[in-house]
Amino acid sequence: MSREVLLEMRGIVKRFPGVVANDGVNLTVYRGEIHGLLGENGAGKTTLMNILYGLYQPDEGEIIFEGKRVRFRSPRDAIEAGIGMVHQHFMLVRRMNVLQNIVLGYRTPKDPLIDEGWVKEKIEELSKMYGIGVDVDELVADLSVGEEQRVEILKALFRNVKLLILDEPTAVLTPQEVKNLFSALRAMTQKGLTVIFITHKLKEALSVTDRITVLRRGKNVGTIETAKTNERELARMMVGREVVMDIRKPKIEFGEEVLRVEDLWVEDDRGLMALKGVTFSIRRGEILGIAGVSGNGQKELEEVLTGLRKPKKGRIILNGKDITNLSVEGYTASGVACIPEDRIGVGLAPSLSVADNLMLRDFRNFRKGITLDFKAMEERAAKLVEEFAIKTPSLHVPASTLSGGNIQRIILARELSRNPKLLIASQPSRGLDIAGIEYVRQRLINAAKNGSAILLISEDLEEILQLSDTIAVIYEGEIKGIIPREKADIEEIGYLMAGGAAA
Amino acid sequence: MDFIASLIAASIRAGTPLLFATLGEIITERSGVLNLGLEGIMIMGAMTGFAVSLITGNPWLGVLAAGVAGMAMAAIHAFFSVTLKADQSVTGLMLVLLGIGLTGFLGRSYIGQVAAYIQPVKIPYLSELPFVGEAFFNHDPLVYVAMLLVPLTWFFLFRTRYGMEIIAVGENPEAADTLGINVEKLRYASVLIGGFLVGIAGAHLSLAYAKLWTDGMTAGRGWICLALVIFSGWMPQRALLGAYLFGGLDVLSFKLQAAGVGVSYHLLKMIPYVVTILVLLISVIRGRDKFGAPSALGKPYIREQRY
Amino acid sequence: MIKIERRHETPRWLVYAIPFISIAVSLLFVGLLLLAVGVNPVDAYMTMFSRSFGSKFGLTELFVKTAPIVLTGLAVAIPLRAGLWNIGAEGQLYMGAFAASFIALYVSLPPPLVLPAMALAAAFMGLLWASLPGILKAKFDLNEIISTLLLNYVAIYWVDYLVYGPMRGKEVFNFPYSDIFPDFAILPRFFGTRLHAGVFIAIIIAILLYLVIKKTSFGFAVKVVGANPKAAEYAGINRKRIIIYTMLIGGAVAGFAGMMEVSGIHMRLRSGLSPGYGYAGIPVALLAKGNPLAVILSAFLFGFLYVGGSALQTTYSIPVSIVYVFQALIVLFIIGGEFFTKYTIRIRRG
Repeated sequence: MSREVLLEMRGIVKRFPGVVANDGVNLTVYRGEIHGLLGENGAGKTTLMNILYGLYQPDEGEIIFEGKRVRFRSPRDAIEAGIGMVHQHFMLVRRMNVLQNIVLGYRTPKDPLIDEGWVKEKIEELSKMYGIGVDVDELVADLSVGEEQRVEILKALFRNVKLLILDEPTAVLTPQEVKNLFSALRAMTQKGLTVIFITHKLKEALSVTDRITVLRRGKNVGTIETAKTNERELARMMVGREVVMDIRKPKIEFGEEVLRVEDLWVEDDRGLMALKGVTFSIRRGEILGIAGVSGNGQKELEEVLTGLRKPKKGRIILNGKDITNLSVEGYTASGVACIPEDRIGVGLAPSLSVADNLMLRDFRNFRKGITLDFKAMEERAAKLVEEFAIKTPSLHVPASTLSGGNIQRIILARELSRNPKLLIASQPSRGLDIAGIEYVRQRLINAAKNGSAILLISEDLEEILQLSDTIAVIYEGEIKGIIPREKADIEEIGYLMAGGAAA
Repeated sequence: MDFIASLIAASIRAGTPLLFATLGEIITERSGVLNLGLEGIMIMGAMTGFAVSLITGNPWLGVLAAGVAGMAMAAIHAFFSVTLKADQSVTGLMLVLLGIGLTGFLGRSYIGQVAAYIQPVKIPYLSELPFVGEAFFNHDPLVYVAMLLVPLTWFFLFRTRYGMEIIAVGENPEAADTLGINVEKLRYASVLIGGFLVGIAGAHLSLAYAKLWTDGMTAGRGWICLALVIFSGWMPQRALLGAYLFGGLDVLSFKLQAAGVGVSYHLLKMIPYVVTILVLLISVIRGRDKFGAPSALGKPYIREQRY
Repeated sequence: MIKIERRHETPRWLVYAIPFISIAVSLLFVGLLLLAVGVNPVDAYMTMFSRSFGSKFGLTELFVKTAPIVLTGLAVAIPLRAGLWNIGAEGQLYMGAFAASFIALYVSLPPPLVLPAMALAAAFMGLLWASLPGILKAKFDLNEIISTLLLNYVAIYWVDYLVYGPMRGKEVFNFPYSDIFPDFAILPRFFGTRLHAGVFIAIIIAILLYLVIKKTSFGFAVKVVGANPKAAEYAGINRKRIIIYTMLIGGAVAGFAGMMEVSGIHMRLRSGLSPGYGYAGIPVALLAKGNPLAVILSAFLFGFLYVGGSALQTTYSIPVSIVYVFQALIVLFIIGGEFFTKYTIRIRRG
């Protein structure tokens, strides 16, 4: 890491309706370093980098790159200056192959024709140089998540990037893939590249970066050398107060078996088997945590356990009753509740009011003759808003106007308020700030204490370890290694997540 | 034998407007914009082409004018869909109403007139060949242009950078945006090109195929083309097949009538529409429409999305 | 640099002003068109206005033309609330007309039962005609715009076939008409004008549908499906069933409009029954934002345009198609206007 300043962002201000995402942020990055940008969800890290990459325009402030004042009106300008970005949600065209995705928009020597030979050669060179291998002819739709990320990185390297920004790159990787990524990053900085690494995970920031800048509520709270700091200090900077790092589920007496899943085989939308012979059970008061990288059947598991998808084979038994073939309404009536992974897409009707959303599942219970008892519905909604401390100007504003944390509370309120027998929580704290994460986890523990059986599906290993009584791993539709938490070993879990055979 | 040759020839002639419009809409939809206004644009093209040819005495000026008129109407659609990010179905439907309304209103004086038409061209030597001569080599120039347009469109979409960018913009505009591709400009361009081709389709209808102008002469062809786009899986080469097949259906009702088949003319006229529904059904059951459609079709692209 | 920015909040007055501004600007544009063909727009508009409001006959004509549009507006609005486009109201109207005519001419029933039977048959036929696209959409996600559209053409040709062929009347001198209906198959009229009972029934239907949409569990379910189909499924709502039901309702209502036209106005089945009433339902529904009561008001505007349009035709020989131009422009300007409720234009330096 040199002391030469590559990038300076001065006094960056960016406002969105109702919130100041960046409030006078300063950032200095040296050439050749891996600079961590740390902060909770919603702190403004992605916004700041989107401004750097030309996707957003700052309301105030300036950017100095390689000593010159620059203004990036679009990603094209940023790319030309030598800045590349790998976003949190991959920007790949699934129907095209790897080569096409990498060369998209790039003028090859034979422009406007595409010189595939030339491109292939260049990609091979880069693969060798940085140890990032891909099959250029494969369709992106067929790639694993780790492979997709490699394509994204190659996209940037292909364009002779000087500064590479990575936004939460490890969220979707197995522990092994994370190791590979970090060594690739170090290989890059050794060759003179500079990296900005956005994350909300303290441990990772500490393990791979040279220096860390912490953002909190849109402001730069400070920049420190990684070697000179520790988790507690960083956490305090991120949140502004002492953070209770551990919310662990206390051990309680389990009750009788609530859910039993027997040999489930479930198809996905394309007709392929997403779940293969899945079998497990959950008892009253128990939290079963299923770890695994997205895309291994979690979506189908969530859907089959709520009645949205019917299995090809196998049974689902709730409190002794076979509910496999009931309708969604039947599942709900039997006492199944769900916090879906796709909160806004599936769990909410954003254009409808807060009250309507709270009553989304239960409106049928308010029938009065041929009409609905709207007054009673409103009363119940008001009660829920109070009980779950949902911050909203009124019951009748569209739910979309609420913050992410409050939207989560709407869904929690709706699902938990009926004391479900079985609660399925899929990625429940994704995208929330620390206060929100604490709240959700506490609520889940309370629900278990109140007698619900909980199925926790999460990519976040820490979350699984903190909340689960029993842990299992899902990989390519199969459940592997169901073990009690005390016996769980991170290495082993990571190994299973990546497809290793159970011991 | 002669009957089949003339049937093929007639199918090609009848299918040419369909082919132009389908290719145009394929380009438009590949970029992610759904233009339901084909019926309105086509009829504007038909009227404009006819009117300009009538006034100037030059059918090719008419064709050009028709293309420009198509582009102008498509520009309205592009403005509403891309810049204003409005509901594309509504705008498209209103363009149909607008087209039918304007041509009914302005085209009244052209009904019954005789304009300068596009005459068929006998390709030397080839048109003398038995059977294929009559079937393929004795058509007006626009027919040949349409045929050439098929491989050209294919090449443009799949072998050039522009085509690849258009496809990317239709599949994942966010990804294209982050690579520095100007999503809005590309979508505008695609919609305008599409509109130009649909306008020309209309001109062929009035100046070459039917050789007249009347109110409502497109008779639902625009809608059939929308189904043809789905049927062709958004691939130019399959559009060729679909267009000529449907051209054939169109001609079939006349031929059957002339052959004295005895079924009511009106029932025969239903055939193309019923077949289109069936064809749509097959495409959908085979999953072609779901897995073939550009993923971002019909959705406006807004960059500063906050979740 | 001109920048388009998202608004933080929408000024109330703007939301209510937009429909009026759109209508005004459309009048301007069409006025220009009229000038282009040598007609004085002010005179033309005065003619339109006086035709509707200048006489008892004119006023009843307004109601008579509005009634079918109320129904086709509902036929579009109800599925629209579930997120579907019913472009097939025109065809459903024709099929309803066919069914009603069939009962009127060929089925012998005791006279007091004939009108109700016609109404039911028409509604049922319209419902059937809408069921196919509805089922195709629910089961296969087949684009309902195209499927309903195509069926329109089939329905119109079907009626043509009937009136040129098997159902052609005996004394119609080769016109594509059926026989005139017997008296008991004709809707009663009032005030010696063409104002028929169907007008009142149409308004009653609108009120009924409003109550269903706003007050019932079904209406709530429709609201959710229209807002977010995935969330609706997750909430246990049978999305497919809702889609089909709304299309059936739309078809039934449009079918009844067909009965109203043949029994109340034409008194026979004929070619060219409807000057695009089915399509007019689309701007009506959009302007009313899917609210059945607002549909009544919105339909009056478009009914006025039709009456005015035919006045222009008789007075200035302007084809009725000018009404379509109006319809399209009004909707386009409303959409344009709605853009300004969400975004504002700012001019910045640099």
